[in-house]
Amino acid sequence: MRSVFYLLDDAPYGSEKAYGVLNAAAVSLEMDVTLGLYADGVYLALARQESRRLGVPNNSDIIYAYPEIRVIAHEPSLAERGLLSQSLVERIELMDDEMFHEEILSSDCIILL
Amino acid sequence: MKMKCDEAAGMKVGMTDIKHIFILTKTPQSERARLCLQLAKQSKNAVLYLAGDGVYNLLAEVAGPCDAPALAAMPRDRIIACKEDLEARGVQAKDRATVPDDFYRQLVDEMMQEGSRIYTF
Repeated sequence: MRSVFYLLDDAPYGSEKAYGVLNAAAVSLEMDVTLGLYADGVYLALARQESRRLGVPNNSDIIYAYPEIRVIAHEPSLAERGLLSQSLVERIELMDDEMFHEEILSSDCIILL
Repeated sequence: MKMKCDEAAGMKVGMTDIKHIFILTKTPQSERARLCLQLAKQSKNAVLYLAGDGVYNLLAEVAGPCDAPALAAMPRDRIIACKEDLEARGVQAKDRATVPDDFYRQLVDEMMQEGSRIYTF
């Protein structure tokens, strides 16, 4: 089975990038799909996101709705932003630099928006 | 039994066998450039194509999040820079990269080869 790695390196709200990447991942389920959160993308890992007042969909709902999508987060990016002490979406796997890079290099393709 | 072994040998493609082709169009200050260079460093068989603002990564003195050691560790013939984009930005490759006359032809030829993976940043 082909594998695809979606990389999100932008904040989850304020643009449509995260929404776009999540929806692209959701329609790629015939492949092994991994969503990698990197740099500002790791803000998507935060639990209890509340987007109603923004008038936009809650992006973390998509993570919960599609357990087939493997979600990994770059731990150094979380640490740089002081997020390691925060509550995170339970099923997100944290990975160090080397493991995160290996996940990308072992995928058949990488897609960034 | 022999067939099984042959099959296994033929199907198993190690990470060192796969050519990783990186196309970088971002400046050294971008997070994507940093990630790209770190991936190239971790790969055992990487070729880096610099186009657009990606050619700025050849400026070793540039300060910022650019992973300069990763670039310096790569052999010259594994770093390919676009001649037109270098000229447009006044950047000189010197001995840090190969500058072919037909950058995109070389890139496409390499992308078409079996056993390669392409990563664009």
